[in-house]
Amino acid sequence: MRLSRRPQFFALVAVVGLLLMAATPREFWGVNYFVAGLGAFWAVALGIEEIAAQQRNRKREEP
Amino acid sequence: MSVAVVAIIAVALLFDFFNGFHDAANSIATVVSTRVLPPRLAVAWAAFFNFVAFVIFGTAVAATIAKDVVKPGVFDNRVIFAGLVGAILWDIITWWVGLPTSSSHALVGGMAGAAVAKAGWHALIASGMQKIVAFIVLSPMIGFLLGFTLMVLVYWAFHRYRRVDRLNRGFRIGQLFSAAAFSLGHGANDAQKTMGVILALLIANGVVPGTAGVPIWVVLCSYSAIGLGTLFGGWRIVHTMGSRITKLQPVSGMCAETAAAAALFFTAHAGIPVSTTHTIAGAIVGTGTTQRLSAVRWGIAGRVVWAWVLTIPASFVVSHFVYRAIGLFV
Repeated sequence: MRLSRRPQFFALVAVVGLLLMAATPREFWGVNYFVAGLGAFWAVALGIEEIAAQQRNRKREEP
Repeated sequence: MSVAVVAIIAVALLFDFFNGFHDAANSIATVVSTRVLPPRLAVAWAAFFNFVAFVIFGTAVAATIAKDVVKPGVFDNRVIFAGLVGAILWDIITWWVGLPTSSSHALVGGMAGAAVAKAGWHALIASGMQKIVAFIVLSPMIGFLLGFTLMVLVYWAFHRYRRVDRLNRGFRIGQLFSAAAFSLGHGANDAQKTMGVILALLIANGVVPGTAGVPIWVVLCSYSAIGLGTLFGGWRIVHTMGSRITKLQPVSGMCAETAAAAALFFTAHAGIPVSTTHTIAGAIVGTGTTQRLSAVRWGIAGRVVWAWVLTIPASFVVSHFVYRAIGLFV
Protein backbone atom coordinates (compact mmCIF):
# COMPACT_ATOMS: atom_id res chain seq x y z
CA MET A 1 0.00 0.00 0.00
CA ARG A 2 1.52 3.29 -1.13
CA LEU A 3 0.53 6.79 -0.15
CA SER A 4 0.76 9.61 -2.69
CA ARG A 5 2.79 12.74 -2.12
CA ARG A 6 -0.18 14.77 -0.80
CA PRO A 7 -0.57 13.21 2.69
CA GLN A 8 3.21 13.08 2.95
CA PHE A 9 3.37 16.79 2.15
CA PHE A 10 0.89 17.62 4.93
CA ALA A 11 2.85 15.41 7.33
CA LEU A 12 5.97 17.36 6.38
CA VAL A 13 4.14 20.66 7.06
CA ALA A 14 3.16 19.33 10.50
CA VAL A 15 6.73 18.32 11.30
CA VAL A 16 8.12 21.69 10.13
CA GLY A 17 5.51 23.45 12.30
CA LEU A 18 6.79 21.54 15.33
CA LEU A 19 10.47 22.03 14.46
CA LEU A 20 9.90 25.77 14.20
CA MET A 21 9.06 25.84 17.90
CA ALA A 22 12.79 26.10 18.47
CA ALA A 23 12.79 29.45 16.65
CA THR A 24 9.38 30.75 17.76
CA PRO A 25 9.07 32.83 20.94
CA ARG A 26 7.18 30.90 23.64
CA GLU A 27 4.20 33.31 23.58
CA PHE A 28 3.45 32.23 19.98
CA TRP A 29 3.81 28.47 20.43
CA GLY A 30 0.03 28.20 20.00
CA VAL A 31 0.59 29.01 16.32
CA ASN A 32 3.06 26.10 16.00
CA TYR A 33 0.59 23.73 17.66
CA PHE A 34 -2.14 24.97 15.31
CA VAL A 35 0.01 24.41 12.20
CA ALA A 36 1.23 21.01 13.39
CA GLY A 37 -2.27 19.91 14.45
CA LEU A 38 -4.00 20.96 11.25
CA GLY A 39 -1.17 19.54 9.10
CA ALA A 40 -1.31 16.20 10.96
CA PHE A 41 -5.11 16.10 10.71
CA TRP A 42 -5.03 16.49 6.93
CA ALA A 43 -2.13 14.05 6.56
CA VAL A 44 -4.15 11.38 8.42
CA ALA A 45 -7.46 12.23 6.71
CA LEU A 46 -5.96 12.16 3.21
CA GLY A 47 -4.00 9.00 4.05
CA ILE A 48 -7.19 7.21 5.21
CA GLU A 49 -9.04 8.39 2.11
CA GLU A 50 -6.31 7.03 -0.18
CA ILE A 51 -6.06 3.68 1.61
CA ALA A 52 -9.84 3.29 1.50
CA ALA A 53 -9.88 4.10 -2.22
CA GLN A 54 -7.10 1.57 -2.90
CA GLN A 55 -9.02 -1.15 -1.01
CA ARG A 56 -12.24 -0.35 -2.91
CA ASN A 57 -10.40 -0.61 -6.22
CA ARG A 58 -8.79 -3.91 -5.22
CA LYS A 59 -12.19 -5.40 -4.26
CA ARG A 60 -13.64 -4.25 -7.55
CA GLU A 61 -10.81 -5.88 -9.49
CA GLU A 62 -11.21 -9.24 -7.65
CA PRO A 63 -13.44 -11.69 -9.54
CA MET B 1 11.60 69.04 12.74
CA SER B 2 14.74 69.35 10.58
CA VAL B 3 14.84 69.25 6.78
CA ALA B 4 16.67 65.90 6.96
CA VAL B 5 13.86 64.36 9.04
CA VAL B 6 11.22 65.66 6.62
CA ALA B 7 13.21 64.30 3.66
CA ILE B 8 13.57 60.84 5.27
CA ILE B 9 9.84 60.78 6.10
CA ALA B 10 9.24 61.50 2.41
CA VAL B 11 11.50 58.56 1.48
CA ALA B 12 9.63 56.33 3.99
CA LEU B 13 6.32 57.31 2.44
CA LEU B 14 7.80 56.65 -1.00
CA PHE B 15 8.72 53.16 0.24
CA ASP B 16 5.13 52.76 1.45
CA PHE B 17 3.89 53.88 -1.96
CA PHE B 18 6.16 51.30 -3.66
CA ASN B 19 4.95 48.71 -1.17
CA GLY B 20 1.37 49.30 -2.30
CA PHE B 21 2.53 49.43 -5.92
CA HIS B 22 4.47 46.18 -5.57
CA ASP B 23 1.86 44.34 -3.50
CA ALA B 24 -1.24 45.58 -5.34
CA ALA B 25 -0.96 42.33 -7.26
CA ASN B 26 -1.54 40.29 -4.11
CA SER B 27 -4.79 42.03 -3.31
CA ILE B 28 -6.23 41.92 -6.78
CA ALA B 29 -4.53 39.01 -8.57
CA THR B 30 -7.25 36.51 -7.70
CA VAL B 31 -10.08 38.96 -8.42
CA VAL B 32 -8.62 39.94 -11.79
CA SER B 33 -7.57 36.46 -12.88
CA THR B 34 -11.05 35.07 -12.14
CA ARG B 35 -12.56 38.10 -13.95
CA VAL B 36 -14.70 39.13 -10.98
CA LEU B 37 -13.63 42.78 -11.41
CA PRO B 38 -11.92 44.62 -14.26
CA PRO B 39 -8.35 45.62 -13.33
CA ARG B 40 -9.07 49.34 -12.82
CA LEU B 41 -11.99 48.74 -10.49
CA ALA B 42 -10.07 46.02 -8.67
CA VAL B 43 -7.17 48.34 -7.77
CA ALA B 44 -9.59 51.05 -6.61
CA TRP B 45 -11.40 48.48 -4.45
CA ALA B 46 -8.11 47.27 -2.92
CA ALA B 47 -6.77 50.82 -2.39
CA PHE B 48 -9.95 51.86 -0.58
CA PHE B 49 -9.74 48.93 1.86
CA ASN B 50 -6.00 49.45 2.32
CA PHE B 51 -6.81 52.92 3.63
CA VAL B 52 -9.86 51.91 5.69
CA ALA B 53 -7.67 49.50 7.71
CA PHE B 54 -6.57 52.40 9.91
CA VAL B 55 -10.04 52.53 11.48
CA ILE B 56 -9.91 48.87 12.50
CA PHE B 57 -6.37 47.95 13.47
CA GLY B 58 -4.03 49.34 16.11
CA THR B 59 -0.31 50.00 15.70
CA ALA B 60 1.22 46.85 17.23
CA VAL B 61 3.22 46.03 14.08
CA ALA B 62 4.56 49.62 13.95
CA ALA B 63 5.73 49.29 17.56
CA THR B 64 7.56 46.04 16.71
CA ILE B 65 9.40 47.66 13.78
CA ALA B 66 10.29 50.79 15.77
CA LYS B 67 11.34 49.14 19.03
CA ASP B 68 11.92 45.36 18.62
CA VAL B 69 14.27 44.98 15.62
CA VAL B 70 17.14 47.39 16.25
CA LYS B 71 18.25 48.72 19.65
CA PRO B 72 16.71 52.19 20.05
CA GLY B 73 20.02 54.00 20.56
CA VAL B 74 21.37 52.73 17.22
CA PHE B 75 18.76 54.39 15.04
CA ASP B 76 19.81 57.68 13.50
CA ASN B 77 19.00 59.46 10.25
CA ARG B 78 21.74 57.71 8.26
CA VAL B 79 20.75 54.20 9.44
CA ILE B 80 17.07 54.76 8.65
CA PHE B 81 17.80 56.38 5.29
CA ALA B 82 20.21 53.59 4.24
CA GLY B 83 17.71 50.94 5.40
CA LEU B 84 14.93 52.51 3.37
CA VAL B 85 17.06 52.96 0.25
CA GLY B 86 18.25 49.34 0.44
CA ALA B 87 14.67 48.08 0.78
CA ILE B 88 13.43 50.29 -2.09
CA LEU B 89 16.27 49.14 -4.38
CA TRP B 90 15.53 45.47 -3.66
CA ASP B 91 11.81 46.06 -4.22
CA ILE B 92 12.47 47.72 -7.59
CA ILE B 93 14.79 44.91 -8.72
CA THR B 94 12.28 42.18 -7.81
CA TRP B 95 9.37 44.12 -9.29
CA TRP B 96 11.35 44.45 -12.52
CA VAL B 97 11.97 40.71 -12.79
CA GLY B 98 8.38 39.94 -11.71
CA LEU B 99 9.18 38.20 -8.43
CA PRO B 100 6.59 38.36 -5.67
CA THR B 101 8.99 39.19 -2.83
CA SER B 102 8.13 40.77 0.46
CA SER B 103 8.52 44.51 0.93
CA SER B 104 8.24 43.88 4.66
CA HIS B 105 11.18 41.54 4.77
CA ALA B 106 13.10 43.94 2.55
CA LEU B 107 12.46 46.67 5.12
CA VAL B 108 13.47 44.49 8.08
CA GLY B 109 16.59 43.29 6.22
CA GLY B 110 17.39 46.86 5.16
CA MET B 111 17.10 48.30 8.67
CA ALA B 112 19.12 45.41 10.11
CA GLY B 113 21.85 45.79 7.44
CA ALA B 114 22.27 49.52 8.03
CA ALA B 115 22.21 49.08 11.83
CA VAL B 116 24.88 46.36 11.69
CA ALA B 117 26.99 48.58 9.40
CA LYS B 118 26.86 51.27 12.10
CA ALA B 119 27.17 49.33 15.35
CA GLY B 120 27.90 45.67 14.58
CA TRP B 121 25.73 42.62 15.23
CA HIS B 122 24.95 43.76 18.79
CA ALA B 123 22.72 46.45 17.28
CA LEU B 124 20.03 43.84 16.63
CA ILE B 125 17.46 42.71 19.19
CA ALA B 126 17.57 38.91 19.08
CA SER B 127 14.03 38.28 20.39
CA GLY B 128 12.45 40.68 17.88
CA MET B 129 14.39 39.21 14.95
CA GLN B 130 13.52 35.70 16.17
CA LYS B 131 9.80 36.50 16.08
CA ILE B 132 10.04 37.92 12.55
CA VAL B 133 12.19 35.08 11.20
CA ALA B 134 9.91 32.37 12.66
CA PHE B 135 6.85 33.93 11.06
CA ILE B 136 8.59 34.24 7.69
CA VAL B 137 8.06 30.47 7.52
CA LEU B 138 4.93 30.19 9.66
CA SER B 139 2.75 32.77 7.86
CA PRO B 140 2.73 31.03 4.44
CA MET B 141 2.17 27.71 6.22
CA ILE B 142 -0.86 29.16 8.02
CA GLY B 143 -2.13 30.55 4.69
CA PHE B 144 -1.55 27.16 3.03
CA LEU B 145 -3.37 25.15 5.70
CA LEU B 146 -6.29 27.59 6.06
CA GLY B 147 -6.64 27.85 2.25
CA PHE B 148 -6.78 24.06 1.90
CA THR B 149 -9.18 23.66 4.84
CA LEU B 150 -11.57 26.37 3.62
CA MET B 151 -11.57 24.92 0.12
CA VAL B 152 -12.40 21.41 1.43
CA LEU B 153 -15.18 22.83 3.63
CA VAL B 154 -16.69 24.72 0.68
CA TYR B 155 -16.51 21.65 -1.57
CA TRP B 156 -18.05 19.55 1.18
CA ALA B 157 -20.86 22.04 1.78
CA PHE B 158 -21.78 22.50 -1.89
CA HIS B 159 -20.87 19.22 -3.62
CA ARG B 160 -24.52 18.20 -4.03
CA TYR B 161 -25.54 21.58 -5.41
CA ARG B 162 -26.19 21.18 -9.13
CA ARG B 163 -26.77 24.78 -10.30
CA VAL B 164 -23.15 25.54 -11.01
CA ASP B 165 -23.79 28.91 -12.69
CA ARG B 166 -25.64 30.22 -9.67
CA LEU B 167 -23.03 28.85 -7.34
CA ASN B 168 -20.22 30.51 -9.29
CA ARG B 169 -22.09 33.82 -9.21
CA GLY B 170 -22.29 33.49 -5.42
CA PHE B 171 -18.58 32.81 -5.15
CA ARG B 172 -17.80 35.78 -7.39
CA ILE B 173 -19.74 38.06 -5.04
CA GLY B 174 -18.01 36.36 -2.10
CA GLN B 175 -14.69 37.16 -3.71
CA LEU B 176 -15.43 40.87 -3.52
CA PHE B 177 -15.66 40.55 0.26
CA SER B 178 -12.64 38.27 0.56
CA ALA B 179 -10.56 40.69 -1.57
CA ALA B 180 -11.71 43.54 0.69
CA ALA B 181 -10.74 41.55 3.79
CA PHE B 182 -7.33 40.76 2.33
CA SER B 183 -6.77 44.41 1.41
CA LEU B 184 -7.64 45.37 4.99
CA GLY B 185 -5.05 42.90 6.27
CA HIS B 186 -2.51 44.14 3.73
CA GLY B 187 -3.06 47.79 4.70
CA ALA B 188 -2.89 46.97 8.40
CA ASN B 189 0.30 44.98 8.11
CA ASP B 190 2.29 46.88 5.51
CA ALA B 191 1.33 50.50 6.23
CA GLN B 192 2.26 49.89 9.86
CA LYS B 193 5.81 48.96 8.90
CA THR B 194 6.32 52.43 7.45
CA MET B 195 4.71 53.93 10.53
CA GLY B 196 7.25 52.00 12.61
CA VAL B 197 10.15 53.43 10.61
CA ILE B 198 8.82 56.99 10.90
CA LEU B 199 8.22 56.50 14.63
CA ALA B 200 11.81 55.28 15.07
CA LEU B 201 13.01 58.36 13.15
CA LEU B 202 10.92 60.74 15.27
CA ILE B 203 12.18 59.12 18.49
CA ALA B 204 15.82 59.19 17.28
CA ASN B 205 15.51 62.92 16.56
CA GLY B 206 13.75 63.70 19.83
CA VAL B 207 10.57 64.87 18.07
CA VAL B 208 8.51 62.46 20.21
CA PRO B 209 9.52 60.72 23.48
CA GLY B 210 10.76 57.09 23.38
CA THR B 211 7.59 55.78 24.97
CA ALA B 212 5.27 57.57 22.54
CA GLY B 213 2.78 55.82 20.29
CA VAL B 214 2.44 56.54 16.58
CA PRO B 215 1.18 60.13 15.95
CA ILE B 216 -2.12 60.22 14.06
CA TRP B 217 -0.65 62.24 11.15
CA VAL B 218 1.90 59.44 10.61
CA VAL B 219 -0.92 56.88 10.60
CA LEU B 220 -2.95 58.85 8.04
CA CYS B 221 0.06 59.58 5.79
CA SER B 222 1.14 55.92 5.80
CA TYR B 223 -2.29 54.56 4.92
CA SER B 224 -2.71 57.21 2.22
CA ALA B 225 0.67 56.35 0.67
CA ILE B 226 0.01 52.60 0.53
CA GLY B 227 -3.50 53.19 -0.82
CA LEU B 228 -2.15 55.44 -3.58
CA GLY B 229 0.59 52.92 -4.38
CA THR B 230 -2.01 50.19 -4.76
CA LEU B 231 -4.02 52.48 -7.03
CA PHE B 232 -1.06 52.77 -9.38
CA GLY B 233 -0.20 49.08 -8.80
CA GLY B 234 2.19 46.91 -10.72
CA TRP B 235 0.99 44.31 -13.18
CA ARG B 236 3.98 42.07 -13.64
CA ILE B 237 3.35 40.21 -10.39
CA VAL B 238 -0.41 39.87 -11.00
CA HIS B 239 0.44 37.34 -13.67
CA THR B 240 2.68 35.25 -11.38
CA MET B 241 0.28 35.30 -8.45
CA GLY B 242 -3.00 35.08 -10.31
CA SER B 243 -2.42 32.43 -12.92
CA ARG B 244 1.05 30.95 -12.93
CA ILE B 245 1.15 29.30 -9.47
CA THR B 246 -2.13 27.47 -10.08
CA LYS B 247 -5.24 28.11 -12.14
CA LEU B 248 -7.75 29.93 -9.98
CA GLN B 249 -11.56 29.71 -10.06
CA PRO B 250 -13.83 32.17 -8.19
CA VAL B 251 -14.25 29.64 -5.38
CA SER B 252 -10.50 29.07 -4.95
CA GLY B 253 -9.81 32.82 -5.19
CA MET B 254 -12.35 33.47 -2.45
CA CYS B 255 -10.93 30.75 -0.19
CA ALA B 256 -7.32 31.84 -0.76
CA GLU B 257 -8.06 35.47 0.08
CA THR B 258 -10.18 34.61 3.12
CA ALA B 259 -7.45 32.31 4.45
CA ALA B 260 -4.73 34.91 3.90
CA ALA B 261 -6.90 37.66 5.43
CA ALA B 262 -7.46 35.55 8.57
CA ALA B 263 -3.70 35.01 8.92
CA LEU B 264 -2.99 38.73 8.40
CA PHE B 265 -5.65 39.83 10.92
CA PHE B 266 -4.05 37.59 13.53
CA THR B 267 -0.51 38.81 12.87
CA ALA B 268 -1.55 42.49 12.74
CA HIS B 269 -3.28 42.04 16.09
CA ALA B 270 -0.27 40.23 17.58
CA GLY B 271 2.21 42.84 16.27
CA ILE B 272 4.11 40.45 14.00
CA PRO B 273 5.35 41.97 10.72
CA VAL B 274 4.74 39.23 8.13
CA SER B 275 4.82 39.17 4.38
CA THR B 276 1.39 39.61 2.80
CA THR B 277 2.92 38.27 -0.43
CA HIS B 278 4.00 34.98 1.08
CA THR B 279 0.80 34.56 3.06
CA ILE B 280 -1.39 34.84 -0.06
CA ALA B 281 1.07 32.70 -2.08
CA GLY B 282 0.77 29.98 0.60
CA ALA B 283 -3.02 30.25 0.54
CA ILE B 284 -3.13 30.00 -3.28
CA VAL B 285 -0.94 26.88 -3.15
CA GLY B 286 -3.26 25.49 -0.43
CA THR B 287 -6.38 25.89 -2.55
CA GLY B 288 -4.56 24.40 -5.58
CA THR B 289 -3.54 21.38 -3.50
CA THR B 290 -7.20 20.34 -3.05
CA GLN B 291 -7.14 19.16 -6.68
CA ARG B 292 -3.80 17.36 -6.47
CA LEU B 293 -0.22 18.39 -5.73
CA SER B 294 0.58 18.52 -9.44
CA ALA B 295 -2.12 21.22 -9.91
CA VAL B 296 0.42 23.57 -8.34
CA ARG B 297 3.24 24.64 -10.64
CA TRP B 298 6.01 23.92 -8.20
CA GLY B 299 8.63 25.51 -10.46
CA ILE B 300 6.88 28.88 -10.10
CA ALA B 301 6.21 28.28 -6.40
CA GLY B 302 9.92 27.43 -6.06
CA ARG B 303 10.86 30.79 -7.63
CA VAL B 304 8.65 32.47 -5.02
CA VAL B 305 10.42 30.53 -2.26
CA TRP B 306 13.85 31.52 -3.57
CA ALA B 307 12.85 35.17 -3.58
CA TRP B 308 11.48 34.61 -0.10
CA VAL B 309 14.78 33.16 1.19
CA LEU B 310 16.92 35.81 -0.52
CA THR B 311 15.00 38.97 0.42
CA ILE B 312 16.31 39.61 3.95
CA PRO B 313 19.98 38.78 3.16
CA ALA B 314 19.89 40.73 -0.13
CA SER B 315 18.30 43.87 1.31
CA PHE B 316 20.63 43.50 4.33
CA VAL B 317 23.69 43.58 2.04
CA VAL B 318 22.34 46.41 -0.15
CA SER B 319 21.56 48.62 2.87
CA HIS B 320 24.90 47.78 4.44
CA PHE B 321 26.68 49.12 1.34
CA VAL B 322 24.34 52.11 1.04
CA TYR B 323 25.19 53.02 4.66
CA ARG B 324 28.91 52.82 3.91
CA ALA B 325 28.49 54.72 0.61
CA ILE B 326 26.70 57.57 2.40
CA GLY B 327 29.69 57.70 4.75
CA LEU B 328 31.93 58.58 1.80
CA PHE B 329 29.93 61.75 1.14
CA VAL B 330 28.87 62.85 4.62
